[in-house]
Amino acid sequence: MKLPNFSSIKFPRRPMERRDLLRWAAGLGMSFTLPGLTTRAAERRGTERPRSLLTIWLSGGPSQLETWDPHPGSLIGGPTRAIDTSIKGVQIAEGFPLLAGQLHHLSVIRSLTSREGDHDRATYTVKTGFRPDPTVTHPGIGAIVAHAQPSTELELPPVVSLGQENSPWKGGFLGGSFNALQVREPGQAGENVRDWIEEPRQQRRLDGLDLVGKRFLQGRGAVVNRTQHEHSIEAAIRMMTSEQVKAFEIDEEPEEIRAAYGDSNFGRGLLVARRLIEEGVRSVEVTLQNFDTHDDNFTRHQNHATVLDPAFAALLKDLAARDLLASTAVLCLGEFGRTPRINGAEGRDHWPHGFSCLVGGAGLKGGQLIGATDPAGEREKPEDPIGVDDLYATVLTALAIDPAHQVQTPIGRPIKYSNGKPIGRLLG
Amino acid sequence: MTHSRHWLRPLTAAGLVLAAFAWLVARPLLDAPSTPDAPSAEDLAEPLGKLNEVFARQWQDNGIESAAAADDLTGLRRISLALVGSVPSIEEIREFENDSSGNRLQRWTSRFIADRRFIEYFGVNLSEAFIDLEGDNQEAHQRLRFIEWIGESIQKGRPYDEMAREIIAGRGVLADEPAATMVAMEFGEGVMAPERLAGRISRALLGQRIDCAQCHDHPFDDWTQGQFEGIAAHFGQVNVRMAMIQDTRRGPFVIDDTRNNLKREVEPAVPFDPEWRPEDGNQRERLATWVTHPENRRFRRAIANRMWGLLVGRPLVHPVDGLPDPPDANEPDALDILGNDFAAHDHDLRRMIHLIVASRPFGLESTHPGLDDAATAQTLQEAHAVFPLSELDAHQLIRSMQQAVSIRTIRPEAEWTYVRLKRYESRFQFVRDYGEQSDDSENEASTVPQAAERLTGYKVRNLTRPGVTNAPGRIGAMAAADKGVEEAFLACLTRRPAAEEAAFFLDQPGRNTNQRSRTVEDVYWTLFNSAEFCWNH
Repeated sequence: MKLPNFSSIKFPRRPMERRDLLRWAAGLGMSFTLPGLTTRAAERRGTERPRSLLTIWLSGGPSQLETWDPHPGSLIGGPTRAIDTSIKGVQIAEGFPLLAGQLHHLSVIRSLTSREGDHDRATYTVKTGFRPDPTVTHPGIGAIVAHAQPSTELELPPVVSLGQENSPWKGGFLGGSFNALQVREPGQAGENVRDWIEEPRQQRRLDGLDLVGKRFLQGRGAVVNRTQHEHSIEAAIRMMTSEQVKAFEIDEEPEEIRAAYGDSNFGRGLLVARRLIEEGVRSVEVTLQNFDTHDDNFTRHQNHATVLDPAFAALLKDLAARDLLASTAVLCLGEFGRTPRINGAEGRDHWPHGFSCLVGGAGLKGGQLIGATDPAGEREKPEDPIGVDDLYATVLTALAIDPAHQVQTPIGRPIKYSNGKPIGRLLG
Repeated sequence: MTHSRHWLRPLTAAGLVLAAFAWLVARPLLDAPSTPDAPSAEDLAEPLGKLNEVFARQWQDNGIESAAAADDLTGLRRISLALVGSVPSIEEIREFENDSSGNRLQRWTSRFIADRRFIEYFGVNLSEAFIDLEGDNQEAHQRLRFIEWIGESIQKGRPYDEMAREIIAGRGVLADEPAATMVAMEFGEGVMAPERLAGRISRALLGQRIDCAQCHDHPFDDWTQGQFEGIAAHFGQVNVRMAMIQDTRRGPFVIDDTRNNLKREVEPAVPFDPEWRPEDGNQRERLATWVTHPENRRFRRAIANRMWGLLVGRPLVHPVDGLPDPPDANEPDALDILGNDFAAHDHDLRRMIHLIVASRPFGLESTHPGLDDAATAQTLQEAHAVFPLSELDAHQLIRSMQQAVSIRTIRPEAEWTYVRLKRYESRFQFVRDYGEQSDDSENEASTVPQAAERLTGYKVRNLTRPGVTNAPGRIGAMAAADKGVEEAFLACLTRRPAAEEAAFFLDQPGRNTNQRSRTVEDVYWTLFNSAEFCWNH
């Protein structure tokens, strides 16, 4: 059996010269004149590029009525007003003027349904496309995408979760290697993706690790190999010393780009997400949290909109300008919606019966409107209901992945990537 | 009047601050832990002989030789990790080495079971079979009460069949009845609680995954949808109101068939041996009596398999809740031997732990010449002829790291409240970011995010950084560098460094305390990232 020899991993000197050059070029607004950070995924554009998934996760359950399905002037609508968008005849809540101008890149679904109204169970359902099942842990949709299209060139983890997310995508029965790498404060120092020890000392630590590791290997060769322990350390070090790891940093981005995404943890997360996808990362989720508005629903949604609107609009513009939208599926949703009824605390409660999401990119048709909810709030069931699994079957199909592909769980149970049926109207 | 009392306010405030401070630094005075009696060798001899014979025969039939016996320090590390969730402290290692009694591993097993950490760690692991440990924070208190109840019940030697009956059929106000948490939590989650409970009970208490039969007949085994629904129907009378669990609901139990969206009435029924189910009592009580019936071998085989998994790192049958039908009673397998002895001794889980720890497979080395070849390795592992490697879960890892950098044994009941709270907080953060282990232990392997977290995450960095009070700092301040390296190895790996390891780590610049501290920090970093530390062996 072969083990990576840590002694042979040579730490590159910090590429300061290159970095300074980039900063200088960025200052002149010339960063595009420089070659890409790597010669790999970042160089390819348009449909040639390997495809990726970017999920904007609104955790806590965003109100459809205060986002993509407003019903102004009705009993259930509350004070939220609606504005026109770049999709003819489709209005969204007034807090999203910038996104309204970019909405034609996406389609609006107003009839997502699930049967789970509890946060944990609903989160599981909407993150995996399957209801919780105590006998198996399903992989998150991001893990499925990475599993279906492994990348050989990538030195970063294929699945990344950015922001304060409590339930980042897991590999489930696909294995821990598809668990998301989580960076809670993206675009900051990147504390768990960078090494902090100067090179001669780090090298010495690794030499020591080599020595202790070899001793442990004696009489355990095949089983130690199966643990993947040394290999994941090697991969982690490769990541930390790779040029690609710079995708986690945003100080090289032009000032106006950073400003457009906004000075917020979420905005920085979306900007890092774009950089990661450019680098070839398969699946990125970026979380904006605290949508569980049982009280003060309207003010809290307005506040969220001031963060979400500029960042989301900047992302769509940026992806389109870089010709990355054709290869990147973009999805924005939370675990459920909120009740049409406004409760006594000016809040809305959990509502999994007809909630909204935005979806587009990766060749999916933009400008479509699917489903409708009852403006009187009386009928629970929306028109044209769409299951979460149907949404994921659609996204997978757009990413050139067969949703009906079966994977064997470790105990030999065959499970499909998704049990849903692709939504024909969204596919080209 | 009110004006004249103004002078009281600053005094009250100062008093409160003082009281809060006193509470934070309060450290209970405790005696050193005592070592309770362990069952004697003669007491365990009969079942142990039978158990070891089963394994010996299996090795003989496969033509394999088992691994050599592991040394006692390795045994100490194993029981410490399994029972209190961390590597043994230097303090404990020294005491163990000075313990010259013949059965010190059994004595220390008893000691660890009686430890407060046993409730915090083992109690959590066993509770996981019954309740979801993650999720809604509003239920955090209920979960803790349940975990304490499980842990303390084992410590007191409460019969497990009695515990199981309370878990299924417990009634009353939840605050007084932690056993009823499983039922209360499922009903708290809303619709389909009886169905989820049927699944939980068959998995946790019968070692059977019959949940699949919820929607269709089981693909491999004999379970049918009707049998599944019959178990679920025992929960049709449950009413949970204002934290009060009772059986007052009237009318038939109605199931919503997901296949054809039709509603059907279902009568309570059990999948086998209906004569074990008594006529009297409410439905839950009848089910509880049936599950724990003395003739129900599945009940005790299920807990034996689960306990083996918790102690050895891998259950005898995998997955832990996917047991085949019991073999002929005249040809008992290891699960039967463990289960029968358990039933014959008041369903005392402590005794079962002792029996497993004393068994041949538990005491074997995790090395074997055959382990260099993948195919042979599999045969050896399947025959339990080597001790398996299993990855430390996030709780074990952070507890072990915290213990390894601590001079003294971490005993939650003996720590300053403030220190204890800080320790809990950093454990919580580590577990949150490192990730719980996946349920699919077949997939068990280290991951890159986890490696990155250990290699460079601030939580590990903060632990290894030498300080005035922690072990890296104190060891670094020691004049004898060779002693320092030895201490670090004992603290992390429960063994002394080999000659070449000592030579390597001693060959570092260390003219002053500062440099020596850096060296010790590097030793700790290296050991924390080694497979030997991160895997139970």
